Amino acid sequence: MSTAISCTGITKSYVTKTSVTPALRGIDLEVRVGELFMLVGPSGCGKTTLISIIAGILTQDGGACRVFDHDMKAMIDTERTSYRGRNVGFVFQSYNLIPVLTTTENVSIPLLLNGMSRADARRRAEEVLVEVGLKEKLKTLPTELSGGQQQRVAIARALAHNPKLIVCDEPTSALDHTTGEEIMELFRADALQGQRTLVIVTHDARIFRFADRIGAMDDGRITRVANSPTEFAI
Amino acid sequence: MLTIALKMLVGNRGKFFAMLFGVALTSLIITQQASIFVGLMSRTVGFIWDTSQPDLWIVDPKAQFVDDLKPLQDTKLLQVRGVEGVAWAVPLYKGSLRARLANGTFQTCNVIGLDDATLVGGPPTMIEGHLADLRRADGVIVDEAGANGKLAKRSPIPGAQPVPLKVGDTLELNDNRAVVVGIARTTRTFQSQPIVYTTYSRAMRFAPRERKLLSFVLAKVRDGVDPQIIIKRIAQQTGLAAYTPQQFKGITIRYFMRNTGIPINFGMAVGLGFLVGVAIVGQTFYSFILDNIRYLGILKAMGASNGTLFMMIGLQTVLVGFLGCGLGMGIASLTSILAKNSELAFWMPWQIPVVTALATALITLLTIILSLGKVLRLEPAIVFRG
Repeated sequence: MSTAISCTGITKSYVTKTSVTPALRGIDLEVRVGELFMLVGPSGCGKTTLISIIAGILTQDGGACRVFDHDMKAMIDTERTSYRGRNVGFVFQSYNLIPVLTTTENVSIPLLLNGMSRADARRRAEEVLVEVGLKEKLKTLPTELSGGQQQRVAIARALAHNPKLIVCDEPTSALDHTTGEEIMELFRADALQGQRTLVIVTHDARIFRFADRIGAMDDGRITRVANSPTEFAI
Repeated sequence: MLTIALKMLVGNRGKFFAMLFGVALTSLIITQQASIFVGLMSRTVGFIWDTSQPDLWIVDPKAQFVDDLKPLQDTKLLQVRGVEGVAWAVPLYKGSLRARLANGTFQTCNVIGLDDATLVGGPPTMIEGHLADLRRADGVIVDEAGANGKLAKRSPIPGAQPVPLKVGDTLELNDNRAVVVGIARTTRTFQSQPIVYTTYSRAMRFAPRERKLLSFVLAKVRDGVDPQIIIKRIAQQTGLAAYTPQQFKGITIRYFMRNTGIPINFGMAVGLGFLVGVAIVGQTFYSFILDNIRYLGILKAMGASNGTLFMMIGLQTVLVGFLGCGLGMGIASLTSILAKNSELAFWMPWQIPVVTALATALITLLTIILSLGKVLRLEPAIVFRG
């Protein structure tokens, strides 16, 4: 398997007028193409900061982060924005769907941002929504959907433009156990197709079994990387 | 993405209508106040407007505006007639006289005395009767607003509407009998007093005895002669000031602008309207941006450039500005139509909608600038915050 993400010596601190808070203290991490990698650890350990750097929405203070052979820090802001638009999909804990847009419109956003025509974007969005099991909800507003259905729309939005990388922040923590499992099965079935790489940040131990590998973080460092959920459990 | 921007705008109905209302209110205030100001100013020159035949208005050099009457000696008329290049010159009397109404009350009227021979200076539109009827014994023509309003007779039925003055009715003007021979439509004047037209000789009879009673000399310039040359000749040969109607309107309006609080009062209302607009629209739109900041952050994370976000915000603001301005000006135009024959001094020349549109564009621009910083500083990492 080739390397999708390669981080070496990543450091990042949040600076305010009165304090400097280190979030990452030298992260070395490698994620392979086509794998589902989970980052786990207590709140405030730096998981979200790390996926933000990997996804190109934050830049590190020190170290190097290469994503599909692109040095994220070396890119200028507009290049990074364009890179994200083409190559990264996002799934959030609170879904972050735009409430006044229908499911189809929400899913078509990344396609429109990539320059697809409205008609094509609509067609593709409907296709992906059908894939994630929302055939009957193509014109529904997010507020009329259950939490699980909203997360399916968010997954469809992350998949629509066929990104190489999907980053997910606590995708199941707002869902009940059954729905969380369904969502993870959806990730495994649909999101990992075509050599796509998934990095999932989670607290939710119930879904560890869906990971290929698991990285444990604490206090801004990766303390351990397990090559399987079973190894992580030991 | 522009369709998405529009959906995001109208999807938040409360904010959308608040912004629309803000812009509409602003453009309505600006248009309405400016139109009333222009309407009032135009009323100050209503009399000049209605007296369209002469090329020159000749007055005492000390006269500052059309109602600043400084009567001339009758011989001045002959002097003006003697100036080379003057085709004709006629006298015009203008004065305030008391009319005694049928119910015994008094009403001050603007009496206009027209040259007996030519009747130059008569009302622009006759509704009833003819201008020539002024030659009938004791004949007067009354303006429509005066006949229906301040000169109207008390109804014989108690509590009923007053009965408008009509042809054949009589008035008492300064103890002189006057018979209404016509009703005319005139441009409303600043004082809003009834206007009574009669002949110059009859006006001399109606007016109290004074040494000088000639208010204006109205003159026509011979064809092909520059009025400015005649103005200079009149000044040199008679010592009087002569103005073209345009110049006379100009000095009258300037007098009212300089010597009354009208411009500053209306200017303040227009300025306040603008500030209210900036405050309401700017604040509401800023709050709309804050409400949507998370979604803008998501769009940015998903690959929307600052340019795309500006375009989206720009479209939203311009749409609100365009619709609000149209709505405000539409209401103002409706007011203009409804006020056409009313007491309300409302006149909306094309320049006012243009100024309103520019003011709205400025508000829109300020709003976009206000939002600009927020979008520029927007960190896409906001999407991962709970």
